[in-house]
Amino acid sequence: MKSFIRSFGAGLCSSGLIVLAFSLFLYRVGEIDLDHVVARQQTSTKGVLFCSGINHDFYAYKYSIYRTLQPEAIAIGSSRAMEMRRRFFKTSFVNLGGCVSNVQHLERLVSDISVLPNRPRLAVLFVDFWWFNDRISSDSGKYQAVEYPRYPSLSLFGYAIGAVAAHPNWGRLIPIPNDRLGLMGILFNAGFDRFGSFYDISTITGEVGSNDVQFKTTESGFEKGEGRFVPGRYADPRLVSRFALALDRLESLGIHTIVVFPPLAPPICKLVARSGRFGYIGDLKTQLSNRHLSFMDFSDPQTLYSGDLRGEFFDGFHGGDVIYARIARAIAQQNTEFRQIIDDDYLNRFIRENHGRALGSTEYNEGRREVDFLKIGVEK
Amino acid sequence: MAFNSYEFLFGFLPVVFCGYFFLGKWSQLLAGIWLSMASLFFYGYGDLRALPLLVSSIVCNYYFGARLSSSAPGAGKYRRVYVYIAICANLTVLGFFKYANFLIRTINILLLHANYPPIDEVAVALPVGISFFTFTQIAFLADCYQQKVREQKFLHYGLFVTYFPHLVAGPIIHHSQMMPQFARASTYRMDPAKICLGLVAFTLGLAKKVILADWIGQYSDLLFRNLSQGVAPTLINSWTGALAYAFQIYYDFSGYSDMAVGLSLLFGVVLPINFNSPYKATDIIDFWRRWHISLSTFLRDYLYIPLGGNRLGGARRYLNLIVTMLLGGLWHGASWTFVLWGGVHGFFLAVNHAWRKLFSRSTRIPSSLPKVVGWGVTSVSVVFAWVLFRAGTLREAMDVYRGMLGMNGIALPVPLAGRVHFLPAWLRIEFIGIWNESIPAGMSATEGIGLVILCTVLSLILPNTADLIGTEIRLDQGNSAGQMPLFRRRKLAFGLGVLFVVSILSLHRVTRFIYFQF
Repeated sequence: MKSFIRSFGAGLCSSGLIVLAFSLFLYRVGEIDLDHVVARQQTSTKGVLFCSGINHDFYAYKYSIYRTLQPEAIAIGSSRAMEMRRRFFKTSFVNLGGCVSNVQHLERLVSDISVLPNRPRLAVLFVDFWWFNDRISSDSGKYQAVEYPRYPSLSLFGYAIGAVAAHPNWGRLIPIPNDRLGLMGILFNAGFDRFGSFYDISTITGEVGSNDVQFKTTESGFEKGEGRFVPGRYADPRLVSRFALALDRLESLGIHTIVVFPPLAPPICKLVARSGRFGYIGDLKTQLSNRHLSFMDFSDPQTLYSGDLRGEFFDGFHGGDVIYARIARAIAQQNTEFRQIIDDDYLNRFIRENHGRALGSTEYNEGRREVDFLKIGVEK
Repeated sequence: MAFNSYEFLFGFLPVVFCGYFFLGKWSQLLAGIWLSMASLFFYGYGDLRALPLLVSSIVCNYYFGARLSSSAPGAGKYRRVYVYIAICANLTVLGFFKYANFLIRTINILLLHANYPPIDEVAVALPVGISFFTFTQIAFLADCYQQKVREQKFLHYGLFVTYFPHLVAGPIIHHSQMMPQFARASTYRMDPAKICLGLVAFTLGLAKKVILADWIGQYSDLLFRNLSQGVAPTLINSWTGALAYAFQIYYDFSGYSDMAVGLSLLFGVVLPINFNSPYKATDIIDFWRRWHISLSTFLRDYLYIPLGGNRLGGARRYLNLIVTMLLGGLWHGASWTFVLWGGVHGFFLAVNHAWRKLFSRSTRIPSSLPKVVGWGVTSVSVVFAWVLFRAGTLREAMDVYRGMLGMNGIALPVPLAGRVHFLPAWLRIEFIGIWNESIPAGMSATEGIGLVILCTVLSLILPNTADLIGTEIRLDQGNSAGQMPLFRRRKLAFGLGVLFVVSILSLHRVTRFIYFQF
């Protein structure tokens, strides 16, 4: 019996030690304990990018930053809001891009904002058309990804091993860098800065191949009508109504909200207009106008600049930060409240110096130049 | 408090274990009181409301038990009255808490048809484990009435009912198994062999629950969640969901029972084994000898046999079986789906017995099917019946049955489009993905089907807990620790150590045991 107990103990201790070592590693890279991640980002003297390799539901992370900084201005939306930068503003700003991928998510965010005593003065709400497509279930985004882990667990280890194994460059984890957090942050050299904006360094420098070369993936998505690109004739009036209620709620909380349709890449914009299968986009705009809800429509990027803007996109439906600087400047021209908090001089200089690029120069570039990662033959 | 929670494993259990054996060195009485108090704390943790009910039930039943087993002159005259009062009181309490709203809902359906206003439901919360502690005590009263038992120590009786390893979800224990153990001085002394066996059983049970049951349970939950949102299940996802539930409930409940047996062994008390690889059964009779053995035994001893059992002829025997199983179904929950589930199993048992009787002397037709065929028929029957058990309503169950019979068509993965031309059109095949878009992030059809296959293999090939510790558990029969074959299996011990750590790592999502609701 003694040998049985000893063997049981040996199994317990050896696996326990492995678990302990792995847990310490995950804690160090920032995959366990969200509060610790946010604190490390906020207190670091040099810029730290974070992107979890395990959890792609950014809500908890973004909300934590928001709660910590309690900013005067926020950007709300899906991944199509993530390129709005803190440097564009004279006042405090947090980017909540990635928190809202449908009307239901918007309702949740509004509800969560309402419980905190300090609220922002102004919000820029980047809206995706497909939130309102009556062919897409209104609950399509209801299932959340795995919760952001607080403790080591079996599934966490499984996801972590999967994330590392899927990336050929796992040697980057040794030694663990100080200016990147999260497995994806380290492995892909991409992530959120301490204000919630996203930086994808590895794609723009050509280190990792783009998954939308010449916008082919997005084009194919629209042509096949898959996922968010499902064609439809009408916008769901119930969703428009819920959206209007959420906007009312924001205004009643004292948050002036600017509704913006962010741009599609020029070839995609033309494709959508040409296909005639996305009538719900026009219907949505009509329904919003009928309800006297004002919005700024930059879905066609040529409304921002008449020259070639293809190089300023990451892919078919995500503009880079230079595009978002142009959007900020355009909003400021139409909205006085927004104009008061924007850093005009910085925006003009930023656009002038980085024209044609998806990512303006930042401390995260580490001196590396942007390349023509979409292979569209543009000068960078 | 759940066995699969951090507070139980790293707080309650070590404290109670150390306190029990520390006090046991000095006084059995103090150790018994400590264990009783700990059990009451375990029961009341998080929700104190049901604690007074449990305590008053114990006091009243102990009083009636003492009256029923009294040998004082003249006591026999009122024994029948006492036993009726006591059993009726127990059933009334159980009926009120568990079945009052079920009755009201049923009456409301009738009132609705007769255009009368409905009756308001009673605002009452179901006390956890009420079915278990009520049945345990009814059995005690019945045996007191028949003068089979006489308990003089209130502490031992209280411990017998409240003993935390079995209190909430069984096994349903018999006083004849427990009282002698509480009376024995050796129970209060630390026994390394029992502790080892307890760790083995507990580790296996914990792994069954937190690794297998909770994992595969996501796929049955997905099926029924989609149903409630009006999604008609297709062939593959209906079968995946139904099979996932069959394995979820098995690993959940047998995991709980193994943990209960293991925990009890840590305290030197042997509880009965509750499962014996039920999915290896080759007919329904065999299934019920392997599934929830303590309930089957209770129903047989205290319901089927008093109804007449097989002593009143063939037809009456089948009727008794069906009635017993109907009530067994109702015991599980206050819903017509549970009653139907019991009725279906009663019918299966009656058919199985009739078949055996009919062909027992036939030379052409065997009285039992070849094992593989028998296993297949039994498994399909059991899985079909589980759908009733899991479904919230009859309509939900029917929706799943339609899916399982292919009446909602077959959804196949998108990449298979154009590769399976040979399948006939009447199968109504669509290439939209097995779960279409209704599957949450982190789950996949491949994982669901893979888990079903894995669980099938595990439940058929691996030895069960009874196989591993069943023989060793008979410690009183002269086995010394050194002679136990299990203790010579060092690789198994090492594996169990690893399994324990892996199970602890899976505790991050504490889910309730399915049988807590009964």
